[in-house]
Amino acid sequence: MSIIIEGLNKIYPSGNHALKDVNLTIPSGMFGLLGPNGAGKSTLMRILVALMEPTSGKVSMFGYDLRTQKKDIRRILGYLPQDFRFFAKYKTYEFLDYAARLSGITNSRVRKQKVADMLEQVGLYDARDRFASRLSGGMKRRLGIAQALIHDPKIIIVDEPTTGLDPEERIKFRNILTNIAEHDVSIILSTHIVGDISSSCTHMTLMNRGQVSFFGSPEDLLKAAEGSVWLIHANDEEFHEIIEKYPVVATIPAEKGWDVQVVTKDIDPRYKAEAMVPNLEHAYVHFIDTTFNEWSNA
Amino acid sequence: MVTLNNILSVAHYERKLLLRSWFFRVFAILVILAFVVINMATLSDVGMSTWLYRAIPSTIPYFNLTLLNVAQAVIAIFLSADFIKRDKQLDTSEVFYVRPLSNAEYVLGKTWGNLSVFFFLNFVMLLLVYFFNTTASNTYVDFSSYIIYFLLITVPTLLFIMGLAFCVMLILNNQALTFIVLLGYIALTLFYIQGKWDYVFDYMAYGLPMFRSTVLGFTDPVKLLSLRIMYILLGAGFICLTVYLFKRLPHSPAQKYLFLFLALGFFALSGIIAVHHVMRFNGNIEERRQMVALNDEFGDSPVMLVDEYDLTIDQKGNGISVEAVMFAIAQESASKFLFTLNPSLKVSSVHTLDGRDLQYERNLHLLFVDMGREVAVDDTVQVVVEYAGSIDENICYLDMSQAVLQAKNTSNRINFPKKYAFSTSGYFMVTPESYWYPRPGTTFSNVHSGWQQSFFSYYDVRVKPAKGLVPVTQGALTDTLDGYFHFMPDTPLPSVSLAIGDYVRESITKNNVTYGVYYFKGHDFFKDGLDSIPDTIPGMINEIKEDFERTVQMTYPYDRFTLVEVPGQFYCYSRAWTQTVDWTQPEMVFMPEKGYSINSIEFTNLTRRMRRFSQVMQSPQELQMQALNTFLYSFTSESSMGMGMGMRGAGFTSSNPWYQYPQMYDFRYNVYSPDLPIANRMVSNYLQSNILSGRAGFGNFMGRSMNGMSAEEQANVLLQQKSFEQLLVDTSRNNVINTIINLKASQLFAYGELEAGTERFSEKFKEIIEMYPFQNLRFEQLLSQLNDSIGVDVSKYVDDWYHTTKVPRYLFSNPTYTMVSNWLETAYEITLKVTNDSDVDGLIKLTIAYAWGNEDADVIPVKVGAHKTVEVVVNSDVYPRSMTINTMVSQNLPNSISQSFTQAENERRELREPGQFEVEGVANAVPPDEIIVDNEDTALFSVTNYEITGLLQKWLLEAKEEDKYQAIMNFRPPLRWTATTNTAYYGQFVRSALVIRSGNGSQTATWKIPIKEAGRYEVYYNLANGGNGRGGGFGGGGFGGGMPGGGFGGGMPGGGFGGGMSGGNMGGGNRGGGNMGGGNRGGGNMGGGNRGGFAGGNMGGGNMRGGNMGGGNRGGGRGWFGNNQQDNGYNFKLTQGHAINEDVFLNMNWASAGWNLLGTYVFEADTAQLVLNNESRQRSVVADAVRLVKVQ
Repeated sequence: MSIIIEGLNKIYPSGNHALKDVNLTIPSGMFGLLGPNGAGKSTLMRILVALMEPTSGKVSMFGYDLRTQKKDIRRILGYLPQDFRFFAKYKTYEFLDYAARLSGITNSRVRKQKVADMLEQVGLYDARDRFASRLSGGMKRRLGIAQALIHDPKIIIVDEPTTGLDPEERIKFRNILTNIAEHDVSIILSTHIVGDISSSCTHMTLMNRGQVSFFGSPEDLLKAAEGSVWLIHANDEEFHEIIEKYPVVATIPAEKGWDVQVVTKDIDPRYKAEAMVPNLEHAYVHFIDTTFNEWSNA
Repeated sequence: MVTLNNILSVAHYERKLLLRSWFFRVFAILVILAFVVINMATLSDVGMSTWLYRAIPSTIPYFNLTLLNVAQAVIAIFLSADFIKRDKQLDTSEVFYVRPLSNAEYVLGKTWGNLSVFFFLNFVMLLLVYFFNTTASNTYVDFSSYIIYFLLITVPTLLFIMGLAFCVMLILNNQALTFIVLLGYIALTLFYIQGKWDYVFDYMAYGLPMFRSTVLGFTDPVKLLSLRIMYILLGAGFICLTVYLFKRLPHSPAQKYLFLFLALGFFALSGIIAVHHVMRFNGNIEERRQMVALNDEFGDSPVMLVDEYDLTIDQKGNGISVEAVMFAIAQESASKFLFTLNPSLKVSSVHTLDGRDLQYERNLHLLFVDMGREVAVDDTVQVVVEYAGSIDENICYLDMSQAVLQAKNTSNRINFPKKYAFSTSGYFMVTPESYWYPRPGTTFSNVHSGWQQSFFSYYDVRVKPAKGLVPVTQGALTDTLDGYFHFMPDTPLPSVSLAIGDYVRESITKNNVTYGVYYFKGHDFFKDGLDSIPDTIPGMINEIKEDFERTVQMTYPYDRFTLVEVPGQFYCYSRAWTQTVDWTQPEMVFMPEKGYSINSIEFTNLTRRMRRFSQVMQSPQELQMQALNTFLYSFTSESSMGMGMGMRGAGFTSSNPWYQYPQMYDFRYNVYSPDLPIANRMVSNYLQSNILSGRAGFGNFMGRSMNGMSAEEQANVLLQQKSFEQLLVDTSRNNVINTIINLKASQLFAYGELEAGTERFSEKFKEIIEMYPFQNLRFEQLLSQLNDSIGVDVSKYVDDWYHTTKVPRYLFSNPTYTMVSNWLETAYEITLKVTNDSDVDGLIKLTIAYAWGNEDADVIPVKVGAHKTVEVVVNSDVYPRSMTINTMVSQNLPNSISQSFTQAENERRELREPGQFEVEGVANAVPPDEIIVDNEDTALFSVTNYEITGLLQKWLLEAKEEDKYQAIMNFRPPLRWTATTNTAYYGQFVRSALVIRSGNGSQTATWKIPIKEAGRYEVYYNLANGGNGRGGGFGGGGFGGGMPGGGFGGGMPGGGFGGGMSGGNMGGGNRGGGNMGGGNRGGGNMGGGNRGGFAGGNMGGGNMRGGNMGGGNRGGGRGWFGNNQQDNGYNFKLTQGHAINEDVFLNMNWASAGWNLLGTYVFEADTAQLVLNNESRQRSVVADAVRLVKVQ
């Protein structure tokens, strides 16, 4: 296993307990970290990239201890932070070159080639002389992944990479990640967008309120949600009742009322409900609203 | 652990950022533009082409780097702290934080990136400077200095300030706050701490003396290096601390703490250096204190006067080995006698001439020699002292305060170390100040007077220099046997000095005087400028010498006159009790390296400029002769102009250090008195004042213009607070002590002049002095001989004169000036009434001048008893031009006032009997139908003033609170009512007024006018001029304009016209400008300034002729333009109960100097009130005096 997280806790000076006893074993391939905003994903990411010290717990990456061997870990690590908008006054290729130099690519010829390749790979070659701050949001994100990949890291940590991107850019970005994942690297993709996970991750975990609520493959998550997703054909009166009663995933106006998708184990037989095959979004809602609440209530 | 690749990578990209920052780009462009202008001004012929920079080219990079350093230190703070702010703000920087580089690599990279950009800027600037350096004439490129100063100034400063900025930024976490804190720190070091503890806090090396001589290099390289290394270490410490404090997780905790320990280590090292430096500094102070304490303890030990010194000197290593044979005469009966010898010179043996060893004791600088027997008074003994060592400069100038010693020696922004002696293997130089041979008695003592007496001795000096070096001392070089240069002075001398260096000697002889130059090898730059007149030079020098002899009415006493070049670091102080400064030694003048401070020594440049500005075609020979003359006059001109402007425009005139009068008097005559240590200076000053009468005028004018009070006025104020005796030991008043001595000397000898007649007394006085060349004459004996020969006993006045603080004050009538004709004759008659309004008898001097510049003048001493009035009547066949009343020591401010005589009243009658007559009544009493309230009437006059609350305000506004009367800079009037003096102001005893900057009218001055008798009165207000305040006080801006043109003489006479004509005041006009502009009564503000200024320009004459013309003209210009607005004036409010409530406006366009009518009002018998507020279009508002004249 490439990354082992044991008993990780992070309590901020403000008292916010951001991570609560997190235990995870992350295998190679693309790993999704899903959870709502404020779930502790970014805190976990920042700890993993050695930007933040955990309050307690242990992290081992490819056999290196994060507490004492940060340099080794930083050597095998690529990181794209959640916010990646504001640049110092560097040109696109300079930004990559700087990252490459700091990652230990000392030979300028090799570095030059590498930068050019990477720019090509992420589709920014034509924009190489443009100041990074003048790139579009999607291009910036692609530049972000390029800098994370420039030194062929073994672990790539990507925090909320598709937020704010248009669908086309999002797809481009997913494709890049998928391609990389084929080359024996671990990619940890933190996101609150379910679609990002469903299209690319082999393993995933679900976090909420600083805790891990699910660990497994997306299929496992779907399986767990089977039988809990319903499509209710409701009139106006029922509709209001339903949205009060159940977590609603989607509402679609129908000829005689509404088609409402809800996530629940116990469906009221009064309604005209038919079971649905859950998708990842349904499974996510299922976990957040049912499983996790049960855990926390327990 | 730390890899260069990472550091260089971070640096590379940091550099890119900085170079792309507009802030830096703008700064860099400004720097380049500024330095083009600065270097054009200082090095090229387009500008001033300062000789210092070109003479000693190491000063070129030094000067430029010092300037740039201040600017870049500020900018560096901003830019370097920026990287931490940037890292915090830019979310993309995190992707670099997760790279495998250590915090140290990151911080070092950022530091180097920042540093290298600034280094690059320095390099570009130096390249620019190099270009100007190569194109400048008469100089060369001192390449090593470019590197050395860069390493000494720029590197430590930037390293330190960047490290500090990083740390402060990390701690405060706010760039603006960091900037403010560090700017405050810079200001603190620059303006407050400055050179304290020998520049230990001067991280910018702004004040640190770093002058590098072409001969000696740095005089104390270890000190310089250690101070600068200290800042490098501190910088390194701060950078390590930055690594420790840096907000990114380190690779491992151990690395973090490693940098904390490194930081602490660097701090400790720099601390050790700082402590060592301060201890060395304090050690010097302590050594000086101990020496003074020893002097205090042993100051009255028995001494011998040495009749002859035979000195045999071997230069060895850094010092000398000397055998001093002294033929000495005991001054009192004793067996043990005291000498002083430099404490670093170790005595190895003291014996008699026949070889008998003598016991001796050495205590620091003191050398007690036990003769082994009682030596009777006036017995002669021979003592041989053998000693060797280097020179300890701590013995020099023990009488100077630490503040004086620590004061910077700066010329053209170059800071020179102050060296009083040199003691290195390549160069050795000592003056008597360093006591390099045993001299009788002690040096400065707080309790014993007389230590400053020097006595004449014969000298015979043999010097064996190190190989290849040439010695120079007083006397003729008679032979050079066995490597010993033998010098024999022709006359006894007060002391000898010695210089041994790599000298080239050249000389010419004319009329038995050998004029020699000892210059350092290669420093023969001056020859090129005189190549066309080699045969003319001796004659010209001789002519100047004879001219000077005629002027001072004394002859040059030696057969030689030698200029000896000394390294630029040499420094000496002037002292109250002597006119000599160490630059001038008997028959010798020490010239600073390449004469850097004397621009006229660069003959080639001078001739080029003369050719450029001359309107007449002149031959090269004529130009070179003019240039040589200009240089030679620097030895015969008494004063040179020093204009310093401090916070409040404190200015000064300085005496010319090259003035050679001491050769004529001080090294030849010695009038001494154990009770009056300044006797010789008094005599010297008195003799000079007789031959150069009126010489104080210019300096006084300058002093008053710049300081608020002239030196004489300041002296008079001081003499009311302390006795002459007390002032002589008050070192805080050194700036005016010479004036005090002048005043007191003229006061004392005026008693003699009064009794014997001025001319008779002064002639006899000089005659007696001249009877004792190269001999010691007791002051008491001089007075007694005067008494014997002309029956004048001045000695009876001495005691009171020396100890009193009671000072008289006088009232004067307006002088009358009448041309009296009768059948017998036509003559001019001048009368003046003087009242002594004090409890002590007084003595004043009237000077009636019959030609411009006091060349032909009568000086009349007038004795006015306490509470008496004396009328002086003077008759003259010749048209008198002006009268100056000099109250010498008095409470009157100014103490000397002048009146020009323009047009005499014609009367046909008998001439009055000339003389001095005691009369009834009081001079200049205000007529019964007039009421005058002046600003000096504290009971009737008051002003409002802003409250000063903040510390900063206090500092800015009360910087010179100790002086009641301040200088008023016309272009920067004070924010609060500030008292100042001026002849044209009204005042019974003190002609003063209060000046304030014009404002919104919130500040007021109020005169309460007690009216005893109801009736109709004309209300007048006194104006010094029609212009604005003090500057314009001298005639429609004549003075104000005079300043920029440098023509002070120009302004003054213009003012004289203003005051003299319109107001009928006594002031001004005595210099001639008054006459010219005088006709221009009504338009005082318009044409007046112009004409007055111009006229003054012509008359200023003498020293400042060139500048005066321009100055005067400009003054006129300002007078013209300054006053053409309709609402330009003063706003008054006149009230009296319900009777009067009037706003009164005094239009300055039409106002003239003197009393200006505000209006005619009917007053009740009650107190009226006139309020002047500070709302005005004038730059300043002046509150002086109001006068009511009853209309019959």
